Amino acid sequence: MKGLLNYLILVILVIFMMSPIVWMFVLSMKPETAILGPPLDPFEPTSAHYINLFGQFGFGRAIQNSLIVALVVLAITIPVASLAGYGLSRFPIPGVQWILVFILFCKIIVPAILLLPLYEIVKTLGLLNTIAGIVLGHLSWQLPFAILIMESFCKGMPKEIEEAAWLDGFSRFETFWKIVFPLMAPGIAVVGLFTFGGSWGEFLFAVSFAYGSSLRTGPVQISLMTTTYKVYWGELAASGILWSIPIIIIAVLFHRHMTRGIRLGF
Amino acid sequence: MHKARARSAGRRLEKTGILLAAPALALLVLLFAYPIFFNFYMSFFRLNLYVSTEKTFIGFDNYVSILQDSLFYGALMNTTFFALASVALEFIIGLVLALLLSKIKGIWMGILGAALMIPMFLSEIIEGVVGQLLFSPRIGLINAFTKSLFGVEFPWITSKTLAMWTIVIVDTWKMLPFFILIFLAAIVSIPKDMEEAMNLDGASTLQQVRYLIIPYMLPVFAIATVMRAIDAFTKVFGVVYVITFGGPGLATDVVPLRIFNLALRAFHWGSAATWGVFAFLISTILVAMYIFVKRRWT
Amino acid sequence: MKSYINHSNIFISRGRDMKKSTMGMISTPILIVLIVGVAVVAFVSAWYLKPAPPPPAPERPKEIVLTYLCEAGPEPEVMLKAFDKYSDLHPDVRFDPDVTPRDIARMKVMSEITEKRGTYDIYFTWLQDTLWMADAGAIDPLDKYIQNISSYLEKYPDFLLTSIQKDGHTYSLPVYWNSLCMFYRTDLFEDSAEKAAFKAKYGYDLRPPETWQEWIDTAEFFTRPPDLYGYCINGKAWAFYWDEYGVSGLQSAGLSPFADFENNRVNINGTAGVELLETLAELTKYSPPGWEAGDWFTFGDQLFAEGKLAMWHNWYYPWPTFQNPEKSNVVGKVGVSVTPSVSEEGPHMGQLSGGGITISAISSEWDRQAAAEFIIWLLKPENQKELALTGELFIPANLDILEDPDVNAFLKPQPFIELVQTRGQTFFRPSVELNEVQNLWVSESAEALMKIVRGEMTAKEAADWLATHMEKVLRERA
Repeated sequence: MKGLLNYLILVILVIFMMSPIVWMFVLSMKPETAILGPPLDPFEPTSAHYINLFGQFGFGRAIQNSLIVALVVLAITIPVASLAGYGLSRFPIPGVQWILVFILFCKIIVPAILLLPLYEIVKTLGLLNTIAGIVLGHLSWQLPFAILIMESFCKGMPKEIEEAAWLDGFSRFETFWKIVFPLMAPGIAVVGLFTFGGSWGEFLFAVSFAYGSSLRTGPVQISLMTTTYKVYWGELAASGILWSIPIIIIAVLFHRHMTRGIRLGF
Repeated sequence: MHKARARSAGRRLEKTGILLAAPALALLVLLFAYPIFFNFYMSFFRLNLYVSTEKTFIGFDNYVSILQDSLFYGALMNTTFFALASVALEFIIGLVLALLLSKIKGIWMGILGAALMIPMFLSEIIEGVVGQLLFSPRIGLINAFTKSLFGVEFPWITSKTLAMWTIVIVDTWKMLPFFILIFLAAIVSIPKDMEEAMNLDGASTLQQVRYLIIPYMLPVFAIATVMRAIDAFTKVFGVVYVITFGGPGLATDVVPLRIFNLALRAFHWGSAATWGVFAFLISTILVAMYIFVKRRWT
Repeated sequence: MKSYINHSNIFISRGRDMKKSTMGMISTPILIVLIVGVAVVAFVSAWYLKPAPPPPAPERPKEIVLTYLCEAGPEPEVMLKAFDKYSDLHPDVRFDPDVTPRDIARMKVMSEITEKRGTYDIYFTWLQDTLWMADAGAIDPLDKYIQNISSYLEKYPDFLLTSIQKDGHTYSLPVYWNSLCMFYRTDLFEDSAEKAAFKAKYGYDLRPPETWQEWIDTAEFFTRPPDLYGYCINGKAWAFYWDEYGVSGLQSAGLSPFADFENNRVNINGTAGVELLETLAELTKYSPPGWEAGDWFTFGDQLFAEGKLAMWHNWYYPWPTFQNPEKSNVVGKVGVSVTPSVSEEGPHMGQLSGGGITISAISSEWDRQAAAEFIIWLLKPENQKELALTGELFIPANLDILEDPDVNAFLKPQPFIELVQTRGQTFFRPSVELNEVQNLWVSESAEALMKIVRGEMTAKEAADWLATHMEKVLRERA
């Protein structure tokens, strides 16, 4: 009975969270005039917006670019952040508090202000208008976040397992690889999801560090649908739906790492 | 002999730790040293790019002028209210959802989890568009529903008081997945043995939550809350910009919007940097609170 | 119940581990300093070792790529079609357009000016920005590359040319222009029954309002909820300022220039300024509900097209939409009139807006040459005409093209041109300084309106409050 109640609450909340998305889906099928009219009137569904996305708005290219950026950022962030998180949480580094504070400070900078200096840096390194430049920009706000999350996760993990492993004669590296890394799996899954999702949906850096239609990422392309004189509501809604799909895929793939508890004793 | 050995062993531990953290730190220094410096440095200058590309040193004038500006306090109050309300809502609902979700087995957890997560990963612009499509006076869905069902319409973004709450609601919808995911990952990494031991000891769910889950998750609670609170002061700009543009009037004027306006519209880099420093100081206070909580409970 | 979490912090390491360690020599603080130092040195050296600009090529490169910066929007994007056509005719010149949202485009221009890196070769520049960019050294005069440019520009109206010419140099090729005007419903304003009823109630003849008092009267007269409202005030701060208040209101109040940059004073809280705010606040009573969050695109334009507004003051761009049977219920029922003013004599002023193509002063010599050739090609009447026929919002600057029957039929600009030529709608062009500081009081002017509407302040108090803020902004300028 209790389980059913839990389930019910969950489903209700999910419905609430999803209703804007469902509404977006409905909108993406509405012809333009219907969108601008009263919301609840009946309408004739059309797939014109989706077609326009790939035709007029070059969404195929945008998806490709976004995917590359997100995957590269993911590939760099996960190892760097998990190693750093583990190192900062477990090892008696002098001044670790200050390092953590520095990382938090990195997170605090307002993006509008961060933009210009970072733009200069990327320009100096000659990485303007390259995927590498956008990746660098993304790393600037992904890394502090990822490290801090990993650090707090590792801090919360019980040390008994590692100590047991050392007492049994495992080397430090073996301990990390065989014991700690699997334990960190939920944390890594979460950070991976955030990192991918964050870079997937990021707009400010992608638009500032790259120009030209060949390097546009999805959110940049989406922003161009709200021009000065006309907002392409239908295409916006369609792009929102398309943009959610990879997230769903990755979440479903990763959910296995969110299984409850790790069996101790080996 | 043992002492020396232990000391050098301790140093080796330090070094291993530093090596582990080194690539991350190197990247961060490379990316942030200049911007952090730039932010503080520019706040002592007047640099209005429309006027000239040369900056003039004016000492603390920027600070004085902001502190004398009543709009500064208005924006500050709005942003503080927003931070408190949205973080509180997101924390509570997020925790409840995470606990519920952790009890679900199998593929359903993945699917439900995925459904819950979408709002956070949509681009900022789409969040703003969704907000408009839901709450706008004319084309808003919610008012259309309430009107046809109950005959009432709400002044979501047209009323001074309700506008801020609308922003809070939209931001909660967007960032709830953040808390859900982090809490969920912390919950599931609690070793099963401890849970089973508690069950054997005859603990009820509530007691489990109180004595096992919450102490376990305190570090995660603290960092998640601090990060979201800081975000409210520095990053929550897109949603406000698209839905209300700080309106009606100045009702939803928030600090990041002001900074954006100063930096990228009027190109008053000096003033924008000063606002940035203020946001920085506020965030530092939050960071200090975080460290305090951490020290006390870890 | 005891806590199940062990908070011990002590590690025990074993002999095996110590043999594998190799870091015996270096102490920890030095290690930290090394890592940080390497990062900083890498960064600083990259900063100082900027690549030198490539030496100017002795002869024209085989292929030239012109990078174009423009803001997302119909006017700049019409150029993209021109690029394609030109590249077809001249295969050695390609274009690389960078279409970005408005705010980011501004940032990129600023970065170009401060850094002088020459990323872009040509810009789409708004008229009001042209002379400022010339002063900042961002763009080159076109007459440097185009010998007889004045002959091309003979057919361009004066009010456009003064935006782009300085010291005898021409800095931009205007491709499009536009201004504010008052749309009104001809079927309402010219209906004899309405006219009689209006005259009976207010004592004078019904006409599209030319004074503020008339504006209020006609708005009141035509407010018949829920299907018809007299007017719609823009509630969103940027829409309010860039339409009713700052750009046409203050000008039509005769207060222009309302900001005195020498003495850091504004005059918006005098009699005329207060009357303006009172008028606008009064008009909110005759605006449809939800106006507080409305702007041009999502609210006003749509409402007028649906036939729910008797009047609507905006830029000229929605005219084609109003004439499009698929999108509008008021086809053929729309007239265009002047911006109401503080008194009968005027001024009836709306801001002139428009854009042109400019050549960057920082790019390479050959790129500039190629860009100039493109502009010469663009100046030819047949190309202008073709461009006009592609974009619905494209009011060409060349008046001859405007009078061409095909263009005329397509654009139907007549009411607007007539307005300009006969009814005395004049144009106001903001100074560069005004352009900059205006951004800093947009939200506050909307707040002033809200304060009056909510009854928190009288119009005079709100005007004083706003004036105080504006003067503070001016003081903190240069």
